Amino acid sequence: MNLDDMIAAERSTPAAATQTQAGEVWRSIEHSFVSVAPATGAPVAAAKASTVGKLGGALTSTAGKLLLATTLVTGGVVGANNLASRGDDTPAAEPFSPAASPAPPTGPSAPPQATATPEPVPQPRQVQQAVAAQQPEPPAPQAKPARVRADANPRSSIKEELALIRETQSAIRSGAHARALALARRHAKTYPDGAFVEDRDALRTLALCESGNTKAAISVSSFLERWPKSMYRSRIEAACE
Amino acid sequence: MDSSVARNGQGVEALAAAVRPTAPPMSEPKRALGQTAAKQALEDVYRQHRRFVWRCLARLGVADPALSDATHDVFMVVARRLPEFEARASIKTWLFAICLRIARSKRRDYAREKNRREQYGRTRVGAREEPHGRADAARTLRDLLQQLGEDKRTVFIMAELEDMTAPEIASVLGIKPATVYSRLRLARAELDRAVQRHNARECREQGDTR
Repeated sequence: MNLDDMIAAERSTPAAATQTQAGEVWRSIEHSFVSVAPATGAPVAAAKASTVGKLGGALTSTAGKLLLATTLVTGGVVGANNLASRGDDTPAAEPFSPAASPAPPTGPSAPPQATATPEPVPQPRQVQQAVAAQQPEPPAPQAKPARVRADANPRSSIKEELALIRETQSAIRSGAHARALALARRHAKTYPDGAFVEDRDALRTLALCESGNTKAAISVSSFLERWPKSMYRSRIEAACE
Repeated sequence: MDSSVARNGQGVEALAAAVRPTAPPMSEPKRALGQTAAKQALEDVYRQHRRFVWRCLARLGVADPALSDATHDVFMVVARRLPEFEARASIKTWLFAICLRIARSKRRDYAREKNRREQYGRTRVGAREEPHGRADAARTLRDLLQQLGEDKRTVFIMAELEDMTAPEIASVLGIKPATVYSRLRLARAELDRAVQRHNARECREQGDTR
């Protein structure tokens, strides 16, 4: 058999997934699509998602995670819009209160801290407050005590958790690995079953690898074992080679 | 109701503008692309191109057990990058470039697999009853491809197996078209020799078993 015959054979019968495999792969893609944050730094998307998280303060952890993560991937403003209108239907909907505010005003009568035009409808005011809260430098250190305290309120935990993850991410980006590890530890303590456990594990592993920590190898193998289909996988493999 | 929805919309837009002060303005079509549409787009790409992705990954040396994972990873990249894809290149060349990167990381995973290939002559898997069946020939070619260097293998796959043009290949790999041709020529020559060696080995093995 010569090369051309083999080429013809490979062209007619290449490696192919079975129907079952194809279906399984699609389901895992769908799953990751809604449950995983971008592996490479997408600060814009993250910022948007975080704000969306604030809007969706009243959502349950699972629903919030789903919508958040979807927005992380798609980065759609339309997604944010959907979420905002969804808030209207949620009976327990509560206006967002900025994390750093010591005595967060609650209820629709809260004084608007908005920079944009005031709105009689509660929902837009929440939006504007979210804007107002987003305006200052993203993860300010003085926000920490508020974040820990806010854990008592499950409604704000998603956005707090995401803020912590983002802070960890930016610590890694700026090369502050020790800080990133400390933040990851705090996340593990505060949100042992949080919505972003995979992200935390991934970021911790990255921080260990990039700082040349001796625990890196163990961390990599346990990460890949726990999250074999993680979107962080290639990034971790690149960093921990 | 209508007006509140409209106001909501304005609020969200203001918000979006506020949280990405440095980001370039989003184009209208992209803004209209909601999460459902994004997922639908991803599903369409998956439906149309999953076979292409799967076979390219296999040809690029991703081991069989890792193909599902690798395909998943490719489409995760697609999910993230699809909005940036602007049909400057054909979607196949774009997907191929993603496959290349994923295959590289998967090959690192499967260093053991490489070991196996190095012992290819002695412990060849599946000395089958009908060694020259089509599927076997195809698999043999995929195995032999792994003996080429990555540069030559990549060009060979794109040109000989996927019918991409030299300029297309050159643009994906960031090389000159002339380099594409020379790599292709070298790849073919090297593979030709590998096939001859393979055939000789098959003959010997058949002789041994008789």
